[in-house]
Amino acid sequence: MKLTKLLQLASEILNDTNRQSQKRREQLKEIQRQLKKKTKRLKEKCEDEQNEDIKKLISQKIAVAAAQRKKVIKELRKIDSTS
Amino acid sequence: MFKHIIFFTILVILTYGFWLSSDFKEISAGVAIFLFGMLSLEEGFKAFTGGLLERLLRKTTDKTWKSLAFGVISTTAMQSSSLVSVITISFLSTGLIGLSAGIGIVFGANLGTTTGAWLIAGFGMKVKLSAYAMPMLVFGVIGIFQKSNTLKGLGYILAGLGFLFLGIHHMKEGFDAFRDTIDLTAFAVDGYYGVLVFTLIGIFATVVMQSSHATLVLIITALSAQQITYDNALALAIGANVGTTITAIIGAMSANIQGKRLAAAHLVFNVFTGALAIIFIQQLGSAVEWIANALGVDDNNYILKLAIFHSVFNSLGVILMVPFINNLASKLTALMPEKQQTFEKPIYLSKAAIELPDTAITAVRKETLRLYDNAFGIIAHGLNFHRKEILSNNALNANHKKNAKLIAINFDAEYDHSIKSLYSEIVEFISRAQVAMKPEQADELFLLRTAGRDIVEAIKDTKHMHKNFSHYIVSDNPYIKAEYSSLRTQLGNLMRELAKIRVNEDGGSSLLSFDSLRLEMEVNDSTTNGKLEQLIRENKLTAKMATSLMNDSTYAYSIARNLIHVGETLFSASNTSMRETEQDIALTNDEVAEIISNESFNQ
Repeated sequence: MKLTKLLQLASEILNDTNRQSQKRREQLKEIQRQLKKKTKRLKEKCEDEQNEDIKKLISQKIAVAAAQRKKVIKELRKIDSTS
Repeated sequence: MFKHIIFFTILVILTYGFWLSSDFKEISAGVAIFLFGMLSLEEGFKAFTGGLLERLLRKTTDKTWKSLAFGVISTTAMQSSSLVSVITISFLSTGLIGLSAGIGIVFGANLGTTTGAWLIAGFGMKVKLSAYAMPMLVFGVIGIFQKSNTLKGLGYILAGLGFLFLGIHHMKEGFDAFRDTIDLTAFAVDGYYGVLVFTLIGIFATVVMQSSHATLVLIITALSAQQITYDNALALAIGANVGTTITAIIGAMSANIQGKRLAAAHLVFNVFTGALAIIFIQQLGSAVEWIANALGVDDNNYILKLAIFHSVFNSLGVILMVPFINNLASKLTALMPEKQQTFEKPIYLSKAAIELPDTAITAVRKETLRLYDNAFGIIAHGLNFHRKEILSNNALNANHKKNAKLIAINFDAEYDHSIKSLYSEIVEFISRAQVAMKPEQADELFLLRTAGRDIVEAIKDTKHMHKNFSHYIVSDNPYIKAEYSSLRTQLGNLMRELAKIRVNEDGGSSLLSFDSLRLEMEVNDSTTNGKLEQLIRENKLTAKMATSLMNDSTYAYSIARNLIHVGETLFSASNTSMRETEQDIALTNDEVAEIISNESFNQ
C-alpha cells in the first residue's frame, strides 16, 4: 500500500467526527429503510380496509411516516454537504 | 454484638502477634496488601462492567455449558470468584439471567479459582514477584489518576496486580524468616482428626479474609516454607473452598429472593464438594499422585500437587453437580418461596443492583415497567375495560348498555396497594444510585423517574374523570353518553397501541412510532372540543354536562400525553446513539400541528 493511501486510511480511522457522521448516516439509512417498509405496509392495509374510521387512523400514520421520511432525507443531505 | 466481639478479638490477637513476632507482622502485612490488591482489582473490573459484561452475559448464559464456561473464564481473568459471585447475584436480582444460569456461573467460578492456585504454585513461588510489582504499581497509580474510565480501570487492575504480587512476596518472606524461629509443623495433626481441624481453620481464615484466593496463597507460601505439612495443606484448601461462600452469602443478604437462592446453591455446592473431598481424601490423594506422575511433577513438589488437588476436587464437584443444576434450581425455588406482600414491593431493586450503574438502570427500568403494568390495570378498570379487552384484537366496545355492570374500582386502595410503595422505592433507589453515576447514566435515571411520575399522574387523572365517566356512559342523554364513550375508546385504543409498540408488533423504529399516537391525540382532542361547542350551541347538553365534558376531555388529553411520554421512555429499546438519531427525526409539536392543518383528519 502506498504511503499516501496508508496515511489517508489512518486519518480516517483517527478522525472521530468522520466516524461519527458515518455512523449517523448508517443509522439514518436504517430508519429510512424501516419507514419505507412501514409506509408500504400501511398503504396496503389502508386499501383493504372498509371501516372509514380505521382508514382515517391509517392515513394519519401514513402522513406521519411521510413527514418523518422527509426529515430523514433532510438530515442525510446535511451530512453529505458537510462531509 | 457478636460481630463486634469477633472484630475486637481479632484486633487484639493481631496486636499481640505483632508485638511477639516481626515475622508474623510481615506475613499479616502481606495478607493485608494482597487483600487490598484484590479490592483494587475488583474496582478495576467494575469499570468494564457497564454494558460489555451485560451483553456478554445475555449471549453466554443461554446454555448450561456456556454459563459454566463464563464462570471459569471470568474468574480466571478477574482472579476472584467472590467478585464473579457478587456480580452474578446482582444480575440475577435484576432479572438479567435466570437461576439455573446463575448456578452454572457460580459452579464455573469455583473451577476458575483453581487457575489461581496453578498460577501461584507454578509461577509465584519461583519468580521474584516484587520485581514485577513495583513497575505495575507505578503504572497503575498513573492510570488511576487519568480521566478516562478505561485508563482508570486499567490503572486499578495494574495496581491491584502489583499489590497482589507484593502481598505474596511479603507472605513468602515472612514464612521463610518464621522458619528460623518457630517450626509450625510441630502443630501438625495427622489422620481424619487433622483433616477436620485444618478444614475448620481454612473455613475460619477464609471467612475472616473473605477471600479463598488469599487463604490459598497463604497455604501455598506456608507449604513452600515447609511451615505446614502437605496433608494439612490439603485440608486447609478444602476449608478455603467452603469458607468462600461467606462472601456470596453476605452479598445475597441485600439481594432479593433470587440472589438468596443463588447464595444457597453456592453453599450447597461448596459444602458438597468439601464433604466429598474430606470423605475421599485418600483416594483423591492417590489420584493427585497419579496425575502428578503423568504430568512429570517432581515427587517433592507439594505446591504443584496442592494445585492439582484443588483442581481435582473442584472438577469432581462440578461433574457430579452439573446434571442436577435444574433440579437444584427448582428445589431452591420451592424451599425459598417468594413472600406474599400486602403492598407491592420492588423485585429488581436491591443493594446488589446498585453497585453497577448499568445494572441499576436496568433494575429501575424493569421496576418502572412493573409500575406501568400495575397502572395499566387501574386505568383500564377506571375506563371500565378489562385488561384482556384492551390487549385483544377485537374492536373496543364503545356503547355501554344501560344495565351493564360497571367494573368496581377503589382508586385509593388500588393506588396504595400497587403504586405508592413501589413508586416511593423507585424514587429512593434512583436517588441513591445516581450518586456514583456518569452524567449520561444519571440522565437516563432522571428520564425513568419522570416516567414514574407520569404514570402516577395518569392514574390521578383517571380517578378525577372516573366519577363523571361512570355516570355519563350509562346516561339517558345520547349525546353526552356518546362523547364519554368516545373518550373511553380513544384511551383504550391508545393503551392498545402502546402495548403493540412495547412488543414491537408495529415494526420499525419504536421511538418514531409515538409520533402517530401524538398526532392521534391532538386530532381526538380537537374533534372532542369541536363537538362540544356544537352540542352546546345546539342545546343538546346541560351546562353541568358541558362543564363536566370540558374538564374530563382535558383529563383524557393529559392521560394520553402522560402515557405516551411513559411509552417513549420505557418502550424505546434501541441503543443510546440510535435513540438520539431517532429523537432528531421524531416530529416536533409544530410539525404534528402542520400535518393536522394540511390534512383533513379532524373533519
